[in-house]
Amino acid sequence: MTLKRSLTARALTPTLIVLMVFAALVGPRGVDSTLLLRDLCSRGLTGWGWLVLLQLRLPRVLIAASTGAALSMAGAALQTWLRNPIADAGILGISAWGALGAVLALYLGLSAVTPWAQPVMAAAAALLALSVLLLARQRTESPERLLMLGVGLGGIGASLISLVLSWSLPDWKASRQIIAWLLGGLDGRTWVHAAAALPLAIAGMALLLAEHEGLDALRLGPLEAASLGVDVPRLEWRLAVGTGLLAGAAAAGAGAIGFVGIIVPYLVRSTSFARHRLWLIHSALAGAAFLVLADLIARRAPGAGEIQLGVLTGLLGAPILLRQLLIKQEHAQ
Amino acid sequence: MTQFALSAQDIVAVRQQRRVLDGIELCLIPGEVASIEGASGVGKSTLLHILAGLLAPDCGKVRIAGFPLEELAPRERAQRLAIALQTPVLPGELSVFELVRLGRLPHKVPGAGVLNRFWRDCDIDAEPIERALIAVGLRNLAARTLGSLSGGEQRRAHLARVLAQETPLLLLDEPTTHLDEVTARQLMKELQCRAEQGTAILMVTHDATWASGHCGHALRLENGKLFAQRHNQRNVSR
Repeated sequence: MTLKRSLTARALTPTLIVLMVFAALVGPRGVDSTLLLRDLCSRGLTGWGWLVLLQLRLPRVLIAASTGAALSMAGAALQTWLRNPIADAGILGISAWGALGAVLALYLGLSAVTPWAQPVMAAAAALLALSVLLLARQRTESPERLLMLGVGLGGIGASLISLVLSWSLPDWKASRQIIAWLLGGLDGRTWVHAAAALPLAIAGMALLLAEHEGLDALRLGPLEAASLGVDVPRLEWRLAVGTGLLAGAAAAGAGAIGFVGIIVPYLVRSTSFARHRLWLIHSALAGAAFLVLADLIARRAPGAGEIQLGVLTGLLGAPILLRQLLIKQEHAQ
Repeated sequence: MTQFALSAQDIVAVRQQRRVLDGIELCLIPGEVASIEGASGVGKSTLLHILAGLLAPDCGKVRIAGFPLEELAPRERAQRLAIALQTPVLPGELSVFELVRLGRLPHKVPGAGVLNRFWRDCDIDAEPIERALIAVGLRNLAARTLGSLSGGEQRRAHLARVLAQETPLLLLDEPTTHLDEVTARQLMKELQCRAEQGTAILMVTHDATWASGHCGHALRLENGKLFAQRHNQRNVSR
């Protein structure tokens, strides 16, 4: 690893910590952050500042970080698995199905019964989509065809979301909740949401990290991985479950957030591409930092209110992706 | 009783209602170098994939050092045999060293010091990697990315990955494709050296002249059947 790459990799953790602390201290536009700091300094754990920090800001920052980390790590694993640098939970339709699960939990009123309904249904629906992809994987060796299948699967998921949304229109409150959730955001997130999303994210990350050597071999294709002693079908099921849990955790925590899973692993590729042990960790750290920063911008952006996080990641992410694709095309020519 | 490094009995493979392989019988003893010749599309690679356990035969049995292939766990299988594919996937961003390092993956003990292995960036198998890189003449290019290499150099990197596995059985699909004469000779010298140490080697090639010059045992695949071509005692290293 060159010095520049090594420095970039080493800067990720401190950057994330600084961003998380800053994001926890800074509130929405119009709220004076110095008041909070002054209250924290003068009254410590007994003042309103501590309550705001503990009950409003911290869960929000934690969910932003875990969602960014989950989406990025899932994206990195999927890119290796499908040997496609633009594969991620969004492109493959997994996020759409995760969103469908969460939307159904809202529509059926289950999320009002238990906070676990949304993450569990999101993860279950994401796993269902991944199982379909995995079954299709056994019939086709082509990563491109699998990607196309994922796009189709995402289309079905999106149509079903629209159907649920149209059913919910007579109920103004439910439909508003669903629309706000679909735009992706962290407004109003509490410890209840964090407690639901974090275990899924941690389990998914642990599962993927445990398979880092298998992923290293899988980069050479399933045939070569098998010749290197990797039990490819078992590895693929584990990857499916791991990425499904991460997509479910992200969908449950922050709603529909796009582009993070493509861009972040791509940007940190140069620091640690050779070994998944590092690439997965770097992707997670950079993804967490990216989404905490994006949420900070969303909160402080000028306008009538907060920009929805999903809209912002799309606005930030799409130009970066287009730029990278254009650079790649120029190199190819 | 002779312990065969590789034995195949009555291998049948049917592809699109055609018997590509029709009752193949094959035995290889440790230290033997054999080649399978045949026209393109005759089923040479299919046979090699079946012998490596990458493809299931429609009928027949393969044994590696006496063990039925299907009873071996993937990792155990990779410790006993290595295969060089005809068209391997070589990610352009990966360095030669990182590719060759993957050849040592089957020899890592699963579960032993998982956390230690996870956090420490150590390469305990530096010697086999070094040996493999020297064998294919890529030691000086170890830090280069595969994308920056020529076709021949990429082929050599793939062969180094296979050699780094250091298995008692080597299956090589067209190993000299894209190689210049000097490198091909250097590779054959290395393979002969490994054969002298007891490694059984089976190569697939469509070049009968080349095979006759380098392999002790030449076989020909035709109409799904394997025929003995000739037996060149000079090249059998036992």
